[in-house]
Amino acid sequence: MPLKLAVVPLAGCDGCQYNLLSEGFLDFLKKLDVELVFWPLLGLKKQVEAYDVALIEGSVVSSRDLEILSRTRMKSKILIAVGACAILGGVQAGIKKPGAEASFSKPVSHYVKVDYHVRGCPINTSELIKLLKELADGNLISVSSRRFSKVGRDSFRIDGSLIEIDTSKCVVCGRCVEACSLVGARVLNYVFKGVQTTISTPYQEPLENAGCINCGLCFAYCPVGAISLKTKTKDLLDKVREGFLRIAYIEPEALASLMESDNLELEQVISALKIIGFSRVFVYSSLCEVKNNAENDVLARSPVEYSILSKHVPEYRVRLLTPRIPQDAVYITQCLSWRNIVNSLTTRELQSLIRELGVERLGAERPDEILDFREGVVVVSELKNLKQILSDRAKHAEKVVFEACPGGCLLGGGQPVSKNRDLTKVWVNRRDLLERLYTKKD
Amino acid sequence: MCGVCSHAHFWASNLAIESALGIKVDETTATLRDACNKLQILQNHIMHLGFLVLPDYEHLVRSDKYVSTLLRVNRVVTEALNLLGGRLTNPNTYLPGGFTIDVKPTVIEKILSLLRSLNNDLRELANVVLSVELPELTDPSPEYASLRESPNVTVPVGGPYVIDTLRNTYVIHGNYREIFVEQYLDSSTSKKCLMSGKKVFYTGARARLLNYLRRGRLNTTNELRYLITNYEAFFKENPFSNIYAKIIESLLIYESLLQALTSLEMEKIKRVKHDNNFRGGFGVGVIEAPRGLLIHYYELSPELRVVKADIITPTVMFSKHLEVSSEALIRGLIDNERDYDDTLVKKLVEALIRAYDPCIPCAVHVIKKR
Repeated sequence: MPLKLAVVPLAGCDGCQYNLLSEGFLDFLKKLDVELVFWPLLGLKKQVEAYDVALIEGSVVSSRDLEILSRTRMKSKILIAVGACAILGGVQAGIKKPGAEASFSKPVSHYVKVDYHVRGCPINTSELIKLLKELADGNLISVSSRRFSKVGRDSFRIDGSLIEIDTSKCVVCGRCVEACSLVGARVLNYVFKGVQTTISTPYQEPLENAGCINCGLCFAYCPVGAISLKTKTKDLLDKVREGFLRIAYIEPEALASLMESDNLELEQVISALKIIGFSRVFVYSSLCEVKNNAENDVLARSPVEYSILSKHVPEYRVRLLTPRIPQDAVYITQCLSWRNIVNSLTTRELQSLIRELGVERLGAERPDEILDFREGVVVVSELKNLKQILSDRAKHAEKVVFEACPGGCLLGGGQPVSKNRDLTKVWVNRRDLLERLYTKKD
Repeated sequence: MCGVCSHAHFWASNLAIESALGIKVDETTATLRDACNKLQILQNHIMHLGFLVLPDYEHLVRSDKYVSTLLRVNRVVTEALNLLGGRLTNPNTYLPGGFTIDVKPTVIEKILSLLRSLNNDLRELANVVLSVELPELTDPSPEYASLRESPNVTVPVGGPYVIDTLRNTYVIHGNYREIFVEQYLDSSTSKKCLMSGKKVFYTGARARLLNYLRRGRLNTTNELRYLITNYEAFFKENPFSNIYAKIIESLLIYESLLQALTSLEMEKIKRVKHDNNFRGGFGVGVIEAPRGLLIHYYELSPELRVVKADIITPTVMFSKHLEVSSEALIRGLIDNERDYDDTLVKKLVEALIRAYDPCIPCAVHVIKKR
C-alpha cells in the first residue's frame, strides 16, 4: 500500500512548497511509492479518510488555520512541521497587536502534537526526503533516540579575596585564560575533557593561593558573569554617609574611561561624586609619586605590576607607586588590586553608582585640583615592551613606569565596559579624552 | 521576504539601499542581476501557467504531457537561479552593489548550457498555452503601468525610474506614494492601490508587453515579433489574455537572457568595496517583478539602521483591477440571461482570478492598519 502524503499550507510565504516542487521532490515520491493525496498548490484534493504523513507549512494566524490544522491532525498518523513558520511561528509571530487576529500567530506545536520537525527558511529538501524515506521503510524514528539523554557538567566555585568564579555559568569562551596568560599570571586554564571542559585554577585552589595577582582582567572580559567581583561598595558608601570618608581622589585614566563609556563630561562625573557625598574631589595620578624615586628603579603602577615585575625582572629594583592620599579619602582607580591596601573604588563600581543616580540628576562641577606629573616618564604596557625598553636603557633618560594590562591602565581590569565593541577604538577614544584633560588643566 | 518571488524582492531592496547610500554598480553586474530577475520571472510564469492556469482549461488541452515538460523547465531554471542566487527562496548571495560570490565565466557557461536545453520545451509549452481558447471579457479599465525598458530590462541600473502608462509617463523617486496611492479597507486585510488615487490600473506581463508594443520598435526576432503583434488586440481587450502574455513574455525573456549572457563581459566586473563613510538617507527601488511593478523604500539613520521601510507589491497594484474585471464578468453573464448558471459564474471568476495570478503572501498586511 502506498504511503498517503498530504501537504497542508497555513500562513506563510509558500517558499518551502516552491522549494519542494523544484528540487526533484515529485520524482522522489514516484520512486518511493508515496501517493500525494492533498496539495492545494497543485490543485490536488483527493477525498481520503486518513493521511499517513501530513506536512504542515506555515503558522496558525486565524481560526480557519486552526480548524484546518486540527482536522489534519485528526486525519494523519504522522504530522511533520516543515520550515521556520511551522516550527517557530515565522515573522508573523513577532506581531503583538492586541485585537488583531494575527496577534495569536503561534507555531503548530502550540496547538497540536507534532511528530517531526524539519527546520530551515526555506527547508533543506534533502533532509525532508531522508525523513520520508525512513518513514516509508517503516522505520519510525522516535525523537528521544536522536537526543542525548543528559549532558551534565559538575560545577564548582573558586574563591578569592576580591574575585570569585562560578563554573556553572562558564561557557568556555576562553577569554579569561587568554587575558590571564597575557598579563603574565597564568593562573586560569582549561580543565577536563569534552563536554566536561571548564576553566579552573590548578586543583581548584583559591585564587590567591594559585598565584592570582588580582589584576581583574578575567572579570573584565567574562561575557557571562561566571567571574564576579566581591564588591564592597555598600560598606564604603556607609562610611561616606557617616562622615569617615570625605575626599575622593580619582585617577585621570579612570575619569577618561568613565567619560568614554557612558558619554559623560568631566563636570558631570565630579558632580556625581559630590552627590554621592564627597566634599572635595581631586583628579590625582599616582605618577605624581615618580619624582620621589631613584633614577634606575622600575616603577610599578599598582600591586599587580609589582608582583609581575618581581617575578619577571628580578635583576631590577622594583618600586611601587603608592598613592599618597589622606586616611579619610577614597581612591577611585582603574585597578582592582588597591582594594586590599587603601579604601578604593573601581571605575566599574563608580559607573554603576552613577547609573543608579541617573544621568539627568548630574550637574556641572569642576574638580578642586588636578594633580598630575608626566614629564620625564615613559609609561610602558605589556612585558615584552618593557623588556625591550630596559634592554636599551641607555637611550632613555626617563623613568620607566610599567602598566601590566594590555593597552595600559586605559583598559585596566577595573575599567567599565564600553558601548563600543572595538577595543582599539575604545583605547583611542579614552587616550584622546585623557589628553584633553591635561590641556584643560593648562 | 516572500517565498514566491524572493529574488525580485531582494533586488528591489538592494536597489533602494544602493540609492540611499549612493552605491553605483558596473554594467556587467547590472546585466547579471537583471538575468537573475528574469530567471525568476521565467520560473514564476511557468509555475503559474502549469499549476494554476492550465488545469482550468483541462477540457481544452488534449494531453497532460506538458506536466513533465513543465517540471523539467522549472527544475532547470531553478538550477540556474541557484547558481547565481545560492537558493530559490531567500537567496544568500545578493547584496547592495552586487554579489557576495565571484561569478565566474564557467558559471555563466553552465547557465547558458542549462538554458539552451530548454528551447524546445518552452516552445512546446507555448503551443499548449496558446491553443487555449479564452472566455470573452472586455477590459473595463484599460490602463497599464510598467517600467519603460521592460521586459528588456527588468532591474534598472538605478533611479529615477521611468514608468509608462497608456497616456502618461511618471518619473519615480521619493514621490512614489503620490503616484501609487494605497487604500486600506476595514473589510479585508488586502490593500488596494490606485494610480494618483483615481485610476484603476493593471501591471504585469500584459502591461509590459502592451507598453513594449506601444514603443513601436520591437527589438526581437521576426518570429516573436509576429507572435506579439498577432496577439496585440487580445492583450488590449481581454484581461484573460494575461495567460498568453505570460507565455509570450517567457519566450521573449528567454531569448534576451541568452543574448545578454552570451555577450557578457566578465572581465569588467568589479568587486564590491565596502566603504565606511555611508551616512544614511532614503532610497527607492523599482523593478519589474514577475507579477508587475514592485516598489521598495527604505530610510536609513546615520548609524545605518533602517528607520522606515515601505513596500508596494504588484498584487496590491492590480487587485482593484481584478475586482473591477470580475464585476464586469459577472455583470456580462447576468445580462446574458440564457447562459446564466451559478457554477459557471463561480468557475469563470475563479479562472479570471487565477489568470491575474495574485500573490497572496505579499498582498496582505497584518502589522499596521492605518
